[in-house]
Amino acid sequence: MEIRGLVKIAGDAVARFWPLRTFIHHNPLVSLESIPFHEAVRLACRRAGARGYLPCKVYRGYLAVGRIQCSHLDNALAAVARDADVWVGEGRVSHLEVLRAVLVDGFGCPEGDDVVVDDADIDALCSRLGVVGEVSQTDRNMAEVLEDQAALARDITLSQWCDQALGTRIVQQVNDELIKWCAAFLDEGHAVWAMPGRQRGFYRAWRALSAYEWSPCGILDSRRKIASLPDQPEDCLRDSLSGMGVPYPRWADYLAAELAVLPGWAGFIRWRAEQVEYPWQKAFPMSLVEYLAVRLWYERELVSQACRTHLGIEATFEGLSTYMHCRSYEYVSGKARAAGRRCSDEIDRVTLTRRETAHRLVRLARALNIEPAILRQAEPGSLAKLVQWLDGFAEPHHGPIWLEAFEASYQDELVGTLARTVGPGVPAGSMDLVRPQSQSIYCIDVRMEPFRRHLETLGNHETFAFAGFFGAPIRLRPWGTHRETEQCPAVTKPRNEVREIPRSYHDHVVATHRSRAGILYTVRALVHDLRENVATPFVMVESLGWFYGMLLVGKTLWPGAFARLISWCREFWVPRVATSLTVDKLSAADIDEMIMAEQRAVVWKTLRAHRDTVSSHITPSIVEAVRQQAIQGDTALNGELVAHGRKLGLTREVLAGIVDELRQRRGLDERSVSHQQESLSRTGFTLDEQATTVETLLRMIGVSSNVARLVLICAHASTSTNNPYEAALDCGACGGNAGMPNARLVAMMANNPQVRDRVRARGIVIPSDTHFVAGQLDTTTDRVELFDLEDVPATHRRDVARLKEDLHEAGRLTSQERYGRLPDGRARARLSLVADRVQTRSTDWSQVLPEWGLSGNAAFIVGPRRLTRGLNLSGRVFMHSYDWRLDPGGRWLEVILTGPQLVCEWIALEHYFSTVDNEVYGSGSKAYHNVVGRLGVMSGPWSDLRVGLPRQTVISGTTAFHEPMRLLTVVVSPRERLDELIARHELLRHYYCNEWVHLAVVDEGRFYRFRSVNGWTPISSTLSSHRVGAAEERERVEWNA
Amino acid sequence: MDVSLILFMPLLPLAATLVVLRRSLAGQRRCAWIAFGAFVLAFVIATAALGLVTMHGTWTVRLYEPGTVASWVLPLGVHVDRLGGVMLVLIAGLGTLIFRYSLSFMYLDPGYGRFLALLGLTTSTLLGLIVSSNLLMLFACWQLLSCLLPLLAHNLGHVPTRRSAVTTFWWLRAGDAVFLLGIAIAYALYGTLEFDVLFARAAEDPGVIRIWPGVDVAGPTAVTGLLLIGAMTKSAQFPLHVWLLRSLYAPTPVSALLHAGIVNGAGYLINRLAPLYGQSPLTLHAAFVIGALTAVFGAGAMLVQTDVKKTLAFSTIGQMGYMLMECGLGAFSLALFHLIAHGLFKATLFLNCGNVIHEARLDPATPVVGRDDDVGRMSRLTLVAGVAGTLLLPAIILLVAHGAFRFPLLASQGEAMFLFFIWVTSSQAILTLSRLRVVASWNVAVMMLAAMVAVMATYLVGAARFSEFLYPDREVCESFFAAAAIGRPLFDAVVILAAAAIVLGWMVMYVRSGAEELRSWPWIRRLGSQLYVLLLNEVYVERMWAGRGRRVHWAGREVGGEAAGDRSARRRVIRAGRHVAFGMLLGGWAVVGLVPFGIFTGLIGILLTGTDAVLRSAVLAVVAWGALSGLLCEYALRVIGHRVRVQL
Repeated sequence: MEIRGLVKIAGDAVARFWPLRTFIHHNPLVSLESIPFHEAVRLACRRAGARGYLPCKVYRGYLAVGRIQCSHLDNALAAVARDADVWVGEGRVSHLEVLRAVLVDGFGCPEGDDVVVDDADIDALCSRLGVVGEVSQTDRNMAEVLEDQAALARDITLSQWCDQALGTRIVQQVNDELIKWCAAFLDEGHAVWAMPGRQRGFYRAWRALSAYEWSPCGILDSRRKIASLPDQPEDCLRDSLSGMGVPYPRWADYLAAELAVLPGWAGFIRWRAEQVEYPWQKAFPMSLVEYLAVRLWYERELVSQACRTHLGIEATFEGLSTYMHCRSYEYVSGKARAAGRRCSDEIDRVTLTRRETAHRLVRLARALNIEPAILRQAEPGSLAKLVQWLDGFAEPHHGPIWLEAFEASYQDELVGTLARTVGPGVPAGSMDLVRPQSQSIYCIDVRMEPFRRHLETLGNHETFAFAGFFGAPIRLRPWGTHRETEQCPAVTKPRNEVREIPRSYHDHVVATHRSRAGILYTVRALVHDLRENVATPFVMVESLGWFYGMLLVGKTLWPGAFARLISWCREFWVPRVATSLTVDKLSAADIDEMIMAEQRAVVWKTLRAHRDTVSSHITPSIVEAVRQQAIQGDTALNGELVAHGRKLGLTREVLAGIVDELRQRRGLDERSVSHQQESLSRTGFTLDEQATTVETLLRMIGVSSNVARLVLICAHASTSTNNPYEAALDCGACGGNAGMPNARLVAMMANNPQVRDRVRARGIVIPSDTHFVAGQLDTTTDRVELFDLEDVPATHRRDVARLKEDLHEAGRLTSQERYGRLPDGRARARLSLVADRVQTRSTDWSQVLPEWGLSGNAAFIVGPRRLTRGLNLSGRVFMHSYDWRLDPGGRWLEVILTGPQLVCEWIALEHYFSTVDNEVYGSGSKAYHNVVGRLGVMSGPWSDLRVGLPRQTVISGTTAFHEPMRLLTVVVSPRERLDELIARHELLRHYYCNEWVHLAVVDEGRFYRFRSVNGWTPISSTLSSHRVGAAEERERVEWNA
Repeated sequence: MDVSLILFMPLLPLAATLVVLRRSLAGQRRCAWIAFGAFVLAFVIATAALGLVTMHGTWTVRLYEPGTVASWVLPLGVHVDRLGGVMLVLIAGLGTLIFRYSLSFMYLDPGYGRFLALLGLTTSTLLGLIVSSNLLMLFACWQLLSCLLPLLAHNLGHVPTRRSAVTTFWWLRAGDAVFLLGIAIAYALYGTLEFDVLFARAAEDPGVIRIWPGVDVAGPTAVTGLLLIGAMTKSAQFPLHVWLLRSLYAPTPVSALLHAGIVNGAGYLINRLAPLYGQSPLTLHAAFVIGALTAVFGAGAMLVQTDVKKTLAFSTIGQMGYMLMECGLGAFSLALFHLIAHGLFKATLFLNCGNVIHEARLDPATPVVGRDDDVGRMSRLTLVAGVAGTLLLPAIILLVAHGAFRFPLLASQGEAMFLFFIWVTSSQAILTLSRLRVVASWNVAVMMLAAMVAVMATYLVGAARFSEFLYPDREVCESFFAAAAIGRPLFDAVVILAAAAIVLGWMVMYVRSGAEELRSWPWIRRLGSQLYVLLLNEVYVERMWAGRGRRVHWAGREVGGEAAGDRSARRRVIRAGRHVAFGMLLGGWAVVGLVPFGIFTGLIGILLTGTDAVLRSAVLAVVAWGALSGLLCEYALRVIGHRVRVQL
């Protein structure tokens, strides 16, 4: 196969890494979703050495406090327990009991083993245990060699082999080099002096520069070797692989093992290589092939150098295999020495094993309340059986069991709660007949749940949930900046572009804003330039360093007040401008007109800026003539223009110069015009698109009639300072951005009478007295800001004011609830105090935990709000409004399960893995973070790019705040419909059959669990099914009414 | 107010330490606030102390009789002058702020209490160092800092961090050993370690040391030279800066404290021993050369860094180089001025270093291929005006400074040097302004220039006033400059060379903005690439040291072995290590540091009569002492590391 193809296969093993500017929660094992969860975890454990479950100690802690119940543990164990038992003395011990004892008592795990056991017991047992299969040293060596031979070039690379066998540090050396070069190449504007020659691609840039290096990693004669490298990275990679003699069938595995060494950088390169439109990738291309070519070159050189000096053999796969085989004793003892182990002699090890076994047996007996004396007298056969059971249930088997039990405990609790609410006593849906005071649509985010709950208690407010981009995937160009953001889930690509433009009544402010912002920019650039220079930072620091002292004091001692002061000053200096969004599509004529107007402005500005002209002499006809000339291209200047120019006092040469400048630097040529045209034609939505967006939104959340007077579309965002992970707190459905533009856009669409007409034609009636208003909830401070209030009709002012009040109050109540959950917060703190604390928290630069964010998420409920209304779900569930009765074809459900559910699964598993092994899947403590290249973080001065969530986001001190479990999706819908979808979608099959996501369904008022083996099984734990059924029945009656 | 309060001031953060070392996390949090109160109190007292010494002059209290046994065992004394007062305010202030920052920043860390305790201990030590009344106490604090820094790396369960902590430790201890030697020689020469007496005796009879038959060195030069080398390690001067980069594995607040408070060691030390340094021109010249090298190296390497913390670390190295250069030019007070400004600046940047992503979100950079689009093509008029403005305007600023504020232009070489730097900086500012061209209107540009002139003038006046405050006696100040003076032709050559290089650089920048050809000259491109590679590899210093280090550093493998199977043995090691570590932490320095020190200085004092053999044996003894305490400390570090890992 083509080497690129092999690299692509190998690259699937590393998870993509998005730059931190838009943190995307994703499943780190997404490439393994085609195999069952537990197997995937095992595989990843083998590859990356990561832990796949919490330490057993933690689970035991959960058991002790009742988070896990014994019955669930037994259920989970039932899957692995055999129906067998042994007699010990007079008592009978079943397999299940033994396994449970092992889990509950934890004597299989390394960390909990400090119980003192009487030596006499152990001695006695040892003698009874008899001869455990003793293996000679040679055989053991041979077994080890065989195992290592199998692993070489499949799981471990040659450099790792050298490190293991010879005690070298080749991996470290190669990593250091690669980190240095990757950071230099992938830098996105941090370094003042960027790496030269990057536009030629990573491999060539590296080759050009490293040729100047003085013997990298001590490679001899490196300059000549680098100079003679092939021109194409593919050739270099192939040369290295064949030079190391890796057998062709193992190439893909070998490359995957190489990529797994620095998964962060590799993941980022993989992501970047796939983004063909990404400006940095366009300018400075890099791919995994180039990365691997460079990596393997270093490795090959270092390995061959090491093998030659240490062993005197050629560093090829064959050579190493032969060495292991022929000189096995030397190999094994060398390996032990490199690992810092003494080569212990044979007898010791046998005795040790036997004593350890005896120790475990004694512990088992104690756990099962069997006297040691009885154990000592038990038959050797029974003892052997027990030992066999214990050996067969080693520590790696514990994690899955614990996890299943843990999940079952939470799921039972949740399902039980849900079942109770649909029972009698709760006025489910009684308000449906009355027109609600307001309706509001929130994101599916778990943090919306407490807010919605509190809002609903404050009045007749109805709330819904929909993915936070509200069905309008857009590329946004905010006003006043050069950046563009993609406001949609990471898996989709936006087709429409939307610009933020100032409202025309604010034009005078715009001018002030522009010039003031320009001055601010200049000052900042000035300080930056002086700071980052060889000769100037010294005096600059001496003269300006003192001002930083004010910042230091203010930000540390009075963060809240200082932030207010700063923002006040900024507002004062650069006034805020009211803006609007370009919703509607432009016609071709409009586009041309706009471009022309823009060009005329540019030409006029350029002419005026020219020193020889007098601005009052510039007439529209001259401007037009110059514009035409510039657009038409570099033909000779036409006579009319020259005549005009003469009037202005410009010679032919000067005019030519101006035209040239316009073309070269101001973008007035055919290409940029057509580019502009294209970009403008992508701007906005057609009426049809708008109607579809609004219809989809309303239909999916199950609103077809009874629309309130005021509908709030509420996006969310967050506020934190000094936090590299701030995007992780923003809206995941908007690709890690604030969702406000999407909310504003959809509200604008829905307020358009033409759109409403079309929507009505499709069967959804929006009354003419309904107004949509956009808002944004700040999840750190729980404040809602409403936008575009200038568009609110006079009739609705009252409603808005009331809504605002309720939103404010709901925010305060939410803060109070959330504050109690924070590690340094207090439950039931005073409302006013909490608001202040929460506000300060969001502006405090020393705060590593501005909010818990999405931590704690555990379930995804797809169904009407009736199911969850009035329930305290502690901010742990994602919710998506959905009514299957309004979705006859199951089309919306399909969208929900393949779109939002995917986002939820990614979020849940990102949290899961970051919690269970924060060092591998997470990014470690924030205290050591070091932002590199403006795109990611390293820990300390040199490290791999850290992926995943920081420790502080999921772990509180030494306990896990986020309880790591897989997502449970609860759908209110008939089962057949889900069967159909599962059969149709591979993604869903992977999720449910491979148990990456648990699925439960509420069908006809009963709860069912989907199991990969035996399909739908009714959940019958604590619910009385008839009661639920009755409630559902009544609900249906109400619905039909 | 009773002035003896000041004596207890350094102990306040230490008390805070003891308060925080509690078991439960909630308890620690509560106590941390009390500890913060202690810090604030320390700051208030420091401010009061500064006011006091400003009004009443230097103030010294000793808890011992100089020359007795007590002066060797417990040489506690307080000596606060204006220098000490200023430094006290700085350190107490920074310590308070960083402690407050760590209160929330490290809150969710498993080693919260330990971290805060270490922070308190470190601040205490720094304050102790400042108020020391004799070289012995100063050294005790100085070397305690060397022991504390590796512990402050905090994340000792992480293998690279632990390795770096050990590296840091070795570097600093090596510096300490030389430092100690310097002190030993000072004692041998002058028979005392009390600052005032020492200075008086040195002024009376500087003494001579024979290093080798035929090679004599003046006493002050030998002492200050050795102390300078010791200070160079703490202040991360050029070839000895490696540990500073390694220390970035520590939590962010530690970096802030380190870069704002601890690396200033050299600047403070030279000011503290100013009379001695004023007597040794050779040391000052060496300081100038080392400082200049470091400044260029640090600022150069900073340009190619791609991550925040290393950028800041190299910036610190450059700034420390500049500080030492200032000392080498005789402007001791300006060095202090610099280190305060730099401390505030760098602490802010470090504490705010997570903000980069926020900035990148607001303003993502776009790749620049080929020429910089910002640099507009300039007409000849603009070019000429720019060059003229760049060269002339700063000169005008300086003349105004000279005329209006009576700033002694060209009165001494040192001051001329600074004016030169000011000129360079303001030219760069003008260049940037014209390059950006964002400011369309002239009046805004003029406003900015005026603002710049104002800033510069304030700076000049501020620096001059500060100098007067610190050294009220103008003659003293001038004597430093005189000591630092170099031969006129040499000085002129240096200035002309530097000026030429900088003017050339400016010309290149201007030409580049107008002409493409320069960029495409192949040899320039090649030279640029070579320089880039050189800087990216940090001039290979680290690798050279690493090559040496591998042989020296015999204990390459982990104690106990990470893969060791025997669990109970490891636990035993940990348990034993806990005691050792604790001992090291609190009482260790007295045992490891002072007792051998007493023995060795005693030995030297008895035996040193100018013979080189004794001197050499003293060197050996000091190195052996350093190694011994080093091994103990390294062992303790590893054990703590294991403990941390097990805890997680």
